[in-house]
Amino acid sequence: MTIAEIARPRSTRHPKVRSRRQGLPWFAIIVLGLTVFAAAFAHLLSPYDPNIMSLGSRLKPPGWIGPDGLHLLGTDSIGRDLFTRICYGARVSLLVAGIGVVFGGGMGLIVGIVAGYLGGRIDSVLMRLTDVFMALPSLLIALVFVMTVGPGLVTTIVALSIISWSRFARIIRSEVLSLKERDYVLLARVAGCSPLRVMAVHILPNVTNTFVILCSLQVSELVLTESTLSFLGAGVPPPTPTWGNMAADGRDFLSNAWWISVAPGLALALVVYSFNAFGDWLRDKLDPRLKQTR
Amino acid sequence: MLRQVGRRVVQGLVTLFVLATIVFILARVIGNPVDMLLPSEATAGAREEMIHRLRLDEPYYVQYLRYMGGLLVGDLGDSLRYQQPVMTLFLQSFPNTLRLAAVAMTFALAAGFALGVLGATHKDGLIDRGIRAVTVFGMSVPAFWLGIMLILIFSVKLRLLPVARVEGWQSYILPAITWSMFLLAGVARLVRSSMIEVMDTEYVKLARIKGVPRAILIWKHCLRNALLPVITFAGVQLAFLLNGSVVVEAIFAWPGVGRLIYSGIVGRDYPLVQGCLLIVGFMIVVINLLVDILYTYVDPRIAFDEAR
Repeated sequence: MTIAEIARPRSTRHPKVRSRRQGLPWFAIIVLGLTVFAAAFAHLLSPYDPNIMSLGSRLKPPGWIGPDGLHLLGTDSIGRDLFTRICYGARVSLLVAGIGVVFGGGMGLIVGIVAGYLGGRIDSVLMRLTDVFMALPSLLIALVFVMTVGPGLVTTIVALSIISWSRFARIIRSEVLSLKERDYVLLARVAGCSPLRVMAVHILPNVTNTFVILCSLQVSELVLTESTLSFLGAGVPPPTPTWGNMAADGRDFLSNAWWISVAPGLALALVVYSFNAFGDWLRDKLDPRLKQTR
Repeated sequence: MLRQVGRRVVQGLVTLFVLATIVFILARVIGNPVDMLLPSEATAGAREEMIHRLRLDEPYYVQYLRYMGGLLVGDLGDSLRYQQPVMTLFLQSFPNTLRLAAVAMTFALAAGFALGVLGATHKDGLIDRGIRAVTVFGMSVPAFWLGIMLILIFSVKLRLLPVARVEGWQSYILPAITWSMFLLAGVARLVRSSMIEVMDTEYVKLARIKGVPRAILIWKHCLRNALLPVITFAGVQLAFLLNGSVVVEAIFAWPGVGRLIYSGIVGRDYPLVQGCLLIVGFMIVVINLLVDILYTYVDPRIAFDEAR
């Protein structure tokens, strides 16, 4: 033990109190900011085209290793610049996961409010439906859906909405169950508000907090699922670059061009981590009670 | 008690019924099996004949009843590619998945517990920070990428372990690690936080004052009470684990259910994938049912309906 350590009085604050007072998750915010920036300005950030083959520059290693530093992260098996493709891939990932979470979340929000507020038979029917989607492996549901409808950008978004609504519905329903016993809701009913009005005006504003938190927690899962679908060949089809199909492309070149698979996977892990960290922070900030919902 | 169990069984049956209906709607109403089966240049005559042979010219309700009747006796249709009943194919590959799952889950739980307890007892120390970094990594890293990286490092660069071949115990190592990473991280996080909570309670403090040895204190008094949330968590993850099976078996060419499904996706073998989804759904519903019933016997205070 050094003198400095002895001299400094031990912290007397309760550990739980201390961990509650977290600052902003700066690392996550920076990563997400950069990703959004790269996605938005992908066409300006790089002189290369994401989809044009250039057989002369096949399997070039990343700039800091190879003899010519023209390609920051190297090129893939048909000479496309990986950095460029990762930027364009960010566009796909963010777009698909973002729209997916809004659609799926919106669907879950409506189902949750209706089931929770109306109760009775409608509630039990909707909850059995929710059970099915909660019980099944989300990836399998998405795969079966994509197979039936055929792969594509819109299909992927719809598939992600299908797998994400049930959790929203379940949690928001339980929230609504307690909200509808509150005095102001009862008074609104006594005053003659229609059920639709009560749900839209009195219940909805009170679950938006939960909704936002759930959205932020769910996005990372959707980014992961999207890339897994692409990896398995059931996501957004090539040549559109996605992090998943890029990693899949690199599998055949592990022994001589490891960077093809490494780069997109790293980007993915960083973004997923950042969404997780940001979602956790938001939850602690807005509603620590939701701790158990993960 | 018996009434509760009965209610739960009925609920499970309804869930299965809804599942089967959803798959039927997907397969016959939204999707078109004929388009999947026939090449695009097929003649109108061939189409007609195919539709007739598959009995797709019957009204939906007749098709639906026949489909449901088939399900009741375990008939899920035939795979297009293998020309065999889906059930047979599933049962052939299931033991392989089960074996790998057993290894992966044992590893995830054992390592997750060890890391969680270590983290809790060294709270905020160097070990705890290291473990937290590992669990954060485990929660964020995509399984398919982790698998590729493990192959790259251990099979391609170091040449220590076989790639994509099932022979001997070595072939279990990489797939099991890949598959277990997410669960491991989750268990470690959960054990750590609930251990910290339990270690703060009065009865643990009393035991410490009484002079109970530290090892007994941690492993007996604390861990046992920190267990319940972990069991619940592991149970909830069951469906999630099966996601992993598809990815892991596709990467490591493991001859299990996941790869069967993957080959069905690649080969557009539509009855195969849907049949597997149905069987998997059935298994999950049944297991959840058993776990729920078990819970009420173990701890009658837990009411079924509270959670819903």
